[in-house]
Amino acid sequence: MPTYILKRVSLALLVALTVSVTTFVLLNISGDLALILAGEGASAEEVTQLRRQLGLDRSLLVRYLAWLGGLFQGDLGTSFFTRENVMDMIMRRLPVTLSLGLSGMVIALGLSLPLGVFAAVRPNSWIDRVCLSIAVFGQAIPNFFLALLLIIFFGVKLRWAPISGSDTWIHFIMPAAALASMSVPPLMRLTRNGMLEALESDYIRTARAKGLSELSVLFKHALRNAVIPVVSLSAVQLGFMLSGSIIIEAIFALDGIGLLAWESITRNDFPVVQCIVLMVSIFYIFLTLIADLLNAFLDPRIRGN
Amino acid sequence: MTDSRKNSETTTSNLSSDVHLLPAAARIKRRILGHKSFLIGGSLVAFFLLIAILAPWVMPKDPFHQDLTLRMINPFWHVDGNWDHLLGTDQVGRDYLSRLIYGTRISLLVGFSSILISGLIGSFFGILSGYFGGRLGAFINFLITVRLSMPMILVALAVVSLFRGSFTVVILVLGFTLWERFAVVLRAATQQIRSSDYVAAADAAGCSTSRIILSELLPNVLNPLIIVATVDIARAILAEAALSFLGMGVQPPIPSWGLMVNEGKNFMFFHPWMIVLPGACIFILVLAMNMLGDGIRDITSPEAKS
Repeated sequence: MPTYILKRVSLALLVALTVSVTTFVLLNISGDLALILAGEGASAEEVTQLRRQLGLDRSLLVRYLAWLGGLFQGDLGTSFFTRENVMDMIMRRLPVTLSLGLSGMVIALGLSLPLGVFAAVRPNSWIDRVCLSIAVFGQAIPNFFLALLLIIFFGVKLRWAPISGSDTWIHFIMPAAALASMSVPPLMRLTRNGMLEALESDYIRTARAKGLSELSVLFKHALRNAVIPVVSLSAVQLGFMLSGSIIIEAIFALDGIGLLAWESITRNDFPVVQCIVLMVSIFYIFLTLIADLLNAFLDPRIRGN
Repeated sequence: MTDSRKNSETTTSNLSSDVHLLPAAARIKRRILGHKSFLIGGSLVAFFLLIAILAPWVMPKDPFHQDLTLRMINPFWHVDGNWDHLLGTDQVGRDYLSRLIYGTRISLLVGFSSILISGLIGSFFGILSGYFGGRLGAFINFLITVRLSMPMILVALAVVSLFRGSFTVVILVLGFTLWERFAVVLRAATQQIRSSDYVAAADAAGCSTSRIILSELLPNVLNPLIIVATVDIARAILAEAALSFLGMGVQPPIPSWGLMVNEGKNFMFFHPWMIVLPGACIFILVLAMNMLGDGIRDITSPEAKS
C-alpha cells in the first residue's frame, strides 16, 4: 500500500505540473494580451509600454517560472482589472462554488442511488423504464437550457424559489438541480449495473437464505458492494460539476468562482482566469487521487497493479 | 476514471433473442427492425441531416433579414400568430423558423467537423497506445489523464475569447479538446484485437506492423469508432451550444441554437418560446444522436448491451 500511495501521489503531482504548463502556454499563445488589453485605438508605443508594465515582454519560459515561483509562495499575482490579490478574490468566492457543487452532488446521488437500486431489483419493469428515460433525458438536455426552464417554471410561474443570488440555501436548489442533471445518468447507470451484478452473487443468495429482510439484503449487503465504483465516479463527477458551474453561476448570478471566471474571461483578466483553471484542475486531480486511493484501500487487487 | 466507466458495462447474454441459424445479414436486419430507439434516433438524425443539406431551399425566409416593423411576432399557435412567420420572429424581426433551420446546419457542421479532428487525434493516440503498450502506452495514458484534468469548458472559453470567437475557432478548439474518449475506447479495442489469433497469424506470416495496423486492425476497430463518433458528435453539439450561449462561440448574426437561446433569454418571461424552440432543437438532435449511437452498439455487438 505505501508504494502504491507514493506512486499515485507522484503521478498526481506530475499531472498537476503538466496541466499548469499546458494552460499557461495555451492561454499565452492564444493571442497578444497586451494588444487586446490596450484596446483598438492604442498606439504601438502604448502597447509596448503596457507589455513592459505587465511583464509580457519576457520570454514564455521566464514568465512561467516566475508564475510558478509565486505559486509556491502563495502569491497568485494581481488582477489586471481590479488590482486585487487573485488569491483573495478566489478564496472569497470559493465557499459559494463549493456549496453549489456539494448540493449538486447530494441531489445527484439522492436521485441516482435509490432509482438505480429499484431499477436493478426489477429489470425491465416500469420503474426501470422510468429510470432509463431519466438517464436518456438528462444526457441530452443542455444544462443552461434546463436552468432557464427551471427559472421560468419554478421561479416565475410558480414562484417557489428565487431566481438569482446566493443568500440562503433555497437559492441553491435550482442551480444545484440544473448542475446535477448531467451527473444523474452516469451515476444511476453505474448503480443499476453494480446492483444487477451484486444481486446475482452468492453472498446475496446466502443472505436471503439466512432469512434476512429484503431491505437489509438490498441496502446493507448488495448496495455496499455495488457502491464502490459509484464512489469513485462521484469524485470525478464532482470535478466536472465544479468546472460546469461556470454556466450555472452565470445564469443564476451566484457569486462563485464560476461567475468570477466568466467575468474575468470577458474582460481579459488573465491572471485570474489562469488561477481558476489551475485551481479547478487541481481539485479534479485531488478528487480522482482520493477516489483511487479509496478504491485501492477497499479492493486490494488494485494495489498489485 | 476510465476503469470505473468500463465497469459500468455489464455483460448480459442476449443470445436467446437471436436465431443463430439465420445468415449474418438477416440477423442484423432483424435486430435493426426490432430496435425501436435505433429506428427513432436514426430517422431523426436523417431528418436533421436532410434539413441541414437542403437549408437554402427549405428556409421560408432569409434568416439574416431584419425588419424592425415585424419584431417579436408570436408563433402560429398564439391568437396573434402570423402564418407568414410560422414560428414567429425574433427581437429584430428575423424569421425564427428560417433561423432554426439554418442553425441545424451550424450545429451539424460544428459537430461533424470537430469530431473529424478529435477522432483523428484520439484514434491515433488510442491505436498507438493499445498496439505498442509499454512506455509509449504509459505516456499516452498520461496525456489522457492530463486532458481529463483540465476543465474543458473553462479552457475552451478562455482560448476562444482570446482568439475572438468564430465558427472556425470553435471547431478547432472542440476538435483539439474532445479527443480523449476516442483514445480510451480505441485503446481498449486495439488491445483486445492485438491479442487475437488473426493478428498473431499476420505477424507470423511476416506482415509489417503498418500493414497489420492498416489491414487487420483498422477494419476491426471501425465499429467502436463509429459508436464513439456518434455519441461524441452529440457532445460537440452540446459544447458548441454552451459556448455560443455564453457568447463565446459562433458569433452573431449567424444563427446558432445556443446563441438563439442566449438572445431569447432576455425575453423569456413573456415569450418563453424564444428559448424553448432552439433549446428543444438542441435537445432533440442530441437525444437522436445518443439513441443512434446506443442503437448501433446494441445491433453490432448485442453482448455489450448494458
